[in-house]
Amino acid sequence: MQIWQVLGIGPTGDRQAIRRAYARCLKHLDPDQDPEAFQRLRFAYEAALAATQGDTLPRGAAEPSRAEETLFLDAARTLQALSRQDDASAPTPPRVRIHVRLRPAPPPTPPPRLRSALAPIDMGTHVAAEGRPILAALERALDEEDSVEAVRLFQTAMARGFLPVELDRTFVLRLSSVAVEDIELPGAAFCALIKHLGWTTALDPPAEPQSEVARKIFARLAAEEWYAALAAAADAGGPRAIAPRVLLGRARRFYHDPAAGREISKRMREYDRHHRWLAARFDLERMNQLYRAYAEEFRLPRRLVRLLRWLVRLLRWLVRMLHWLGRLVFWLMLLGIVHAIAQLWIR
Amino acid sequence: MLVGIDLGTTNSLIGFWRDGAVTLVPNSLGHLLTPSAVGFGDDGEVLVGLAARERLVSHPTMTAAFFKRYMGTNRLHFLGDRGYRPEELSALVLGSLKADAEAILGEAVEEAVITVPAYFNDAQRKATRAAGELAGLKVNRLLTEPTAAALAYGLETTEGESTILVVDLGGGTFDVSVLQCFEGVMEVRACAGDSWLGGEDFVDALIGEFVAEIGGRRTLPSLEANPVFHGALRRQAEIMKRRLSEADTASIEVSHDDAMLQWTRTREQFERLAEPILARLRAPIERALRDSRIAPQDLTQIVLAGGASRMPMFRRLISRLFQRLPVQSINPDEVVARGAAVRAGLAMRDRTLEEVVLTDVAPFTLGIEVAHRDENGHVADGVFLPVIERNTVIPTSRMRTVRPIEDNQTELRITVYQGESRFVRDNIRLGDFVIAIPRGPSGKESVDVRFTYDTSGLLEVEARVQSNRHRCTLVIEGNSGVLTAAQIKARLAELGKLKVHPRDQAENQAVIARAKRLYEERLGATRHAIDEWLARFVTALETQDEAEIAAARERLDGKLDSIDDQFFL
Repeated sequence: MQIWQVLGIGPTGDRQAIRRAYARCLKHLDPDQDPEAFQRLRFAYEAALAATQGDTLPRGAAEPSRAEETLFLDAARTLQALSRQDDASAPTPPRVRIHVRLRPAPPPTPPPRLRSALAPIDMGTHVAAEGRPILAALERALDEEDSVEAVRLFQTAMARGFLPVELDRTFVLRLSSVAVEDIELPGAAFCALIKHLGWTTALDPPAEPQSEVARKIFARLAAEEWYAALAAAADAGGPRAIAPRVLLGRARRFYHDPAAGREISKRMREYDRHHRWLAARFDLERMNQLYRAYAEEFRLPRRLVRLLRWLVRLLRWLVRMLHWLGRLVFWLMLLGIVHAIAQLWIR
Repeated sequence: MLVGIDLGTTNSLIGFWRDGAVTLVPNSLGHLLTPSAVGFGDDGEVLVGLAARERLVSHPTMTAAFFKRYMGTNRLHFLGDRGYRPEELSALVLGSLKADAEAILGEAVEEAVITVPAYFNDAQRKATRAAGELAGLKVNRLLTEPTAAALAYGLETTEGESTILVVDLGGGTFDVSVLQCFEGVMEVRACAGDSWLGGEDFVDALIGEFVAEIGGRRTLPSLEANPVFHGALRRQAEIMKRRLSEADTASIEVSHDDAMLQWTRTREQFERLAEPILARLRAPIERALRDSRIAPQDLTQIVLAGGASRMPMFRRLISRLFQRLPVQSINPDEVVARGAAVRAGLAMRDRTLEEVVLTDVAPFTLGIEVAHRDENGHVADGVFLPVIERNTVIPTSRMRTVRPIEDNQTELRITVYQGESRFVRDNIRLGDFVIAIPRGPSGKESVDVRFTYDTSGLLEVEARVQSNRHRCTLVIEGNSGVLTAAQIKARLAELGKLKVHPRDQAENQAVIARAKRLYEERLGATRHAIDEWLARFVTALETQDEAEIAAARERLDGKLDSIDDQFFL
């Protein structure tokens, strides 16, 4: 089964013709009565449209099932054959990149130097007079890398609709790169901003996920998430709250409970990973103390350490005892010898 | 006969397709809009529409409104001492609309296309369907509101190709959808929305501000202590919201402890108050555009629908976002009902609509719960695996393959969820079933899970073990907040016992209710006058002489008009 047969037309790169064919077929079938025929038609239509664009398949056709996949490959093969055939005659053969969907192309490389590539905010004619001062202030805040002010102004501008619906990519990059570097910016505000700008790992990343800014953003997001979880655990109370409270400096005492100790050293290792983003929120001197107190101590099971210590102490004591015993024996022998010599001399 | 019904949060309409055009049906009062309010009259009979809405002020404990907001939940509205589910109250509204249509058509109405907000979830859609059945209507299909609005506009522009974005801000819900029309095909490309955002939120904001400001100076009664006061306040706030669309200032006047409380707001203050609500409009618009892969500049027109879209600040926000003026050539209150009537015509395969085809999309991502094992052997469970992505054209059928995670697993539980979150705990659970699998090492067996979603929003899940061809099917039907077939039958019998006010009495009831409402609202001499007029009308009613009653009604209505400048539909 090939897509063009379903559509009832010859292979073409003309979107208009494909649409017309689809509309014609659609009027002859009722999706309610024959859903399978509709799905076949729909798939053929989407594949045909995708072929004209040299594009990835539209959302609706993502994840084709096995049967659909073969159809899909057929379509690609047909089109490839077609483009070879028509190479000589047709001036613009349909660009065949339909198979790209099966192996996604690597994302485009990020611009070499981000900061130089940043453009000023587009203040088109559409912005209402009342919006201009806000956008100008936002521009200034971005220049001065005052992220707290920038985020505040950005949110005002968004709420009042001064920014167009599709945010400019360079603007998104610029605002995110200023915000991500500023560890003074509260975690919740940072997370909200990043979500608002549309940075998600899962859905339609607005920029190259491989770029340096993206890496930083996701690293910081992970750190903020970890911190939020830590704070929540500390608030929850109970024995599981001990380690988070120790880390956050809310519990002054260090605990010598093995379970809490293990938990603390685990959390310490996690903290180490996020140190760059969270350093401002922790007392570093205290963290160093914690490292010394827990990271070393709990490398061996505590009971074994104690046993070994006892053994060492016992051995030391034994040695000392032996030492004294040896001296005693020496003096006694000396006394005996003197005694014997004296007796011999008296005789 | 098949009709189209717009079952709204504040108002409902009914219409049908005949002779190549839409006809909207006026109710017994001659209005096209029937307020979605239900109440019990003093004689224990059910009142629907304007009469009930007027009685919201005078008899708040015997009247209910805005129940659409609670569709798909188990919340009960108490009228007197009996609690009613939102679908039962909606059924009473639908029943009244149906009677209106039957009076005009002169034939029985059996089937209906009912509109729902695009972002209604599965439980809310099922509740709407149940409401239709309780009203004695076979629900041919549920149509999403922005699609209906687009359909009404789309019919106007059949030539050429057009891409329409519909922004529908109704009384309680906000919806966005992107529609592409070509060659008579109307294709919904994407929809998004917020089913908890609408005109009522603006009213709530005004009330909140009023209570915060006036409540600081004098003690106001709580809702439980004085529902009459709160009913009057809500009505006044609604009027203030409407006034501020035209005037620069408006004020609220409510009587409390024999004193008039007055509170004035300017339009600017209202707009500042509403900013957080307007900010919530942006995300659904962005998502619909992103999902449809259509750039904002490629849109042919932006269409506004829903009564709340009349607010100037909303229109200004939309024109700022898209940098052009939105279109609103059809009355925003009626546009959804018109679309529903067109859809009803399509479903009847009317000859005049032969050249039009509509395809819709699934509004939510549907998927199952899975667990992942990472390279360290750590198992993360509760992960959501999408099977049908949102905004896929329906009817559709998609398959994913899953494998058991543990060795020697003998069964596999397949739990179906709806939502967009990565973790199932944040999504809505639709149902589950267990399929037996042959014992073996983990990852050896594989199970194909196929989701089939049809045009009326019914989801069928089928799981098949690849090795032994054993299969299991689940049709998602019951979940919490939805009535089962047996319960519907029982409720139907119960609703049948309720005595609905006769249709020809509706006008008298509405005018009495209005007079009573005005009596509650006013003080002093006006009060006495209203009391006197009402007594005279009741005497006229007792004569049972049609002509005399009609004349008396006219007189009373005229007098009420002279003192009431706050009447609205």
